Amino acid sequence: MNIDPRYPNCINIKSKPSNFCPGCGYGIISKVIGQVIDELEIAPRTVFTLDIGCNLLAWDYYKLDTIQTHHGRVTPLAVGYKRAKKDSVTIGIAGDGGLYAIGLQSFLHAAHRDDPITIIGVNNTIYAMTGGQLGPTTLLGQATDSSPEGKFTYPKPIFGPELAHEVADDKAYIARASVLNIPQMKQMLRQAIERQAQGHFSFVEILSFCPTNWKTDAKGSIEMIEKMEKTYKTGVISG
Amino acid sequence: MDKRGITKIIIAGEGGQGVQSIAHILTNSAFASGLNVSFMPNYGVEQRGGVSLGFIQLGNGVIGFPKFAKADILLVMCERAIARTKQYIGTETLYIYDSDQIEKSELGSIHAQKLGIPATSTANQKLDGKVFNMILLGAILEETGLIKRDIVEKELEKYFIDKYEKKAQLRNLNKKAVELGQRLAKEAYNN
Amino acid sequence: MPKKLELLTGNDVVVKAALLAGADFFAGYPITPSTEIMSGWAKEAAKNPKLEFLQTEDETSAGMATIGGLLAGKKAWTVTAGVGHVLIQDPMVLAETLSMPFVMYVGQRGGPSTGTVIYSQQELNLARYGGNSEGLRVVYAPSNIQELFEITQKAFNTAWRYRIPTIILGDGYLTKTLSPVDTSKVLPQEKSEAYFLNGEVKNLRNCFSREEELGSHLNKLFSRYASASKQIVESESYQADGAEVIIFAWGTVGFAAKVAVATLRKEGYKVGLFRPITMRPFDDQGAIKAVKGAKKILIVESSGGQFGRIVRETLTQSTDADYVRLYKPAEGITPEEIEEKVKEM
Repeated sequence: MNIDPRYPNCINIKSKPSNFCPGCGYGIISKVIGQVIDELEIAPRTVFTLDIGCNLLAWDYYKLDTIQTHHGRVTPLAVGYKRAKKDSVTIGIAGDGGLYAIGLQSFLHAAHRDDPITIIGVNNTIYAMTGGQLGPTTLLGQATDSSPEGKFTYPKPIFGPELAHEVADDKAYIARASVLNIPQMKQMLRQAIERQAQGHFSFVEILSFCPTNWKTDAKGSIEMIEKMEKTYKTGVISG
Repeated sequence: MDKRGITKIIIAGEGGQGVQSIAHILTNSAFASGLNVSFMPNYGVEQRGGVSLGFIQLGNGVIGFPKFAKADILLVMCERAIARTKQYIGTETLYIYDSDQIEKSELGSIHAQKLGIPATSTANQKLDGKVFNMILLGAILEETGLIKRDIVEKELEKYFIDKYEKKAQLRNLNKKAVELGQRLAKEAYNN
Repeated sequence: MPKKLELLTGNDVVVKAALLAGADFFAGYPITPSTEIMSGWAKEAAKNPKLEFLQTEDETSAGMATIGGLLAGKKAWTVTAGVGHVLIQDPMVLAETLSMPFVMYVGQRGGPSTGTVIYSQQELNLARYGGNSEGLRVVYAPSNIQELFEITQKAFNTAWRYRIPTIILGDGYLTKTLSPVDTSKVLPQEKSEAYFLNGEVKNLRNCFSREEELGSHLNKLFSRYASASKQIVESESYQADGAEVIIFAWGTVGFAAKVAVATLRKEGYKVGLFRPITMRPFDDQGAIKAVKGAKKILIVESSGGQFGRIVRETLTQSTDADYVRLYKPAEGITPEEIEEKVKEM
């Protein structure tokens, strides 16, 4: 699979340079999402709902209709829109906090109802926008802004895709990708969107960098993802 | 009837006693008679049990608010409703009660003109235990004097049509119950 | 059109009026005393595939899904009450900052917290300024079932014409009561239109990077609101001319007050009523005009003073009259009680 180094057509060039931190996983993720939209030729029908975490910085990233909403409310907003506009491609993007903490209830219920939307969950184990606090996917003993020296972390993190799978229909597409494997990520995003077209819930969690809050350099960021991959297994969970 | 031409009625009973049926038929009949009418159910949080009240207002005048402080006619169908409805007794209130469900001695503290209707026993002996609430409806109709029986019979038909399809004899039983209730009210007035 | 009297509950009327206004999308969560509106809509949606119905997992989701419907150009709406109203102010402020035609019926119940499932006038603050709001919404307060029928229709029109969140602020008594209503009073529908996928890309944000950006955004919203208010504001002055006592009351208590005033006037008392119909925007001018010459002002409400504070703030430099309060938080107030109070004064 070729990863085209140029920007996808559906990206809003006027918003460049983007506001993401250098080394942020969103740089890669947003571009890959854009490529998938181009390849599937769905730009005229695509709508994004965005959360309040770092993905809010993508609010004008695409030449597509986007709405940035309250923390954790990406899913119900997408659900409502899709219900009202059934021929749209409705995609909600949120981080691990927006999906597995404040947004967990509506995330699971959309899976439970098999609402035909696509949710993309960007997992960097912390609340990045507010300075790197611990979250539902923080690993045991991981030091963060609110778990100094690794105190206050929990025995087991929340495994979003696996949890969604527990309540979702078997026909839902649920997978976990990683910024270290872009071809797999792209393939999974494609399948997720195609599953929406087939009328089912789809969800892709993507393990992503946050060098700013991890306080890592490029090498350290890659090592952190490799460490995360040992706990959060990439692959298709339902599909 | 108040100075604005409205009669205020409260129906109080336990869930299952048919408070809603009495209230609805009374309201529907008043509406069909061209009267101004308002019915507001009032109960607490329990889905089952507890006393349920119906606040009904009817007449040719203006109804200012769905609830009121003192009733012109207060129908009490069970013992638990006695305490619950005490606050609604005014100087002019007519207190109608099912004398088979409530002992006159329980009403010692009730200072109002009382009308005891043996609805439960009459229903059991002459008709069917289930229609005792329609006897009480009859008593209320007699006391308001505002609604004609043929209109009530039409409303009974509409309200219970599903039940009548399953059990045709209910139709006559209900009609007779209302009739009986009116007669009992007329006779019992001297209690 | 000839009169058409039907015997309906407030809940029935809200559903009927919403349908007449062109409502076609409803997302909600059950809460007493508004639940019957949701199930009434569900029954309609079950019969009519053009109507959308979604019961969500909570009220914040209900509000957000409603906004989703609006983005697609549906006449989307919801209902709530009490603590559900508290939660729904979260999506409400999103609709406020984005100037969206979010329509909501609220059946006020006792508060604070779970209170009662029955009645109050205690959600006035919440409706006018709930959430981290700047009050950029319209709040209508119907006083009886006829007004409820007409105002519910009007609410959809106001929301779409001026692109502003609009609340129909009723109460549990109003919605549970069965009484006659003339359903021939049908208003012409305002057009709706989609925000998204209509040829022009929109990036809607509720978060700004710098203070000046938000400041500038808000100044535009305030200016829009001020000019729309001139068309939207509504109130009723009843027998206020020459009155020595002016009663201030709203909602169902407002109607009780009107009936009381009619009777009192017949009995020779010089009393009048000022009844706001829009609680936001509030008819300041109308209120100030009504109290000219009044010696006493009687504020009547089923709350501990939420309305009273608005009245006093509005009239602060416009009257020397004495204020008398008839406050019954979470309890109904009858015309007889109001008459008695006026006679005492």
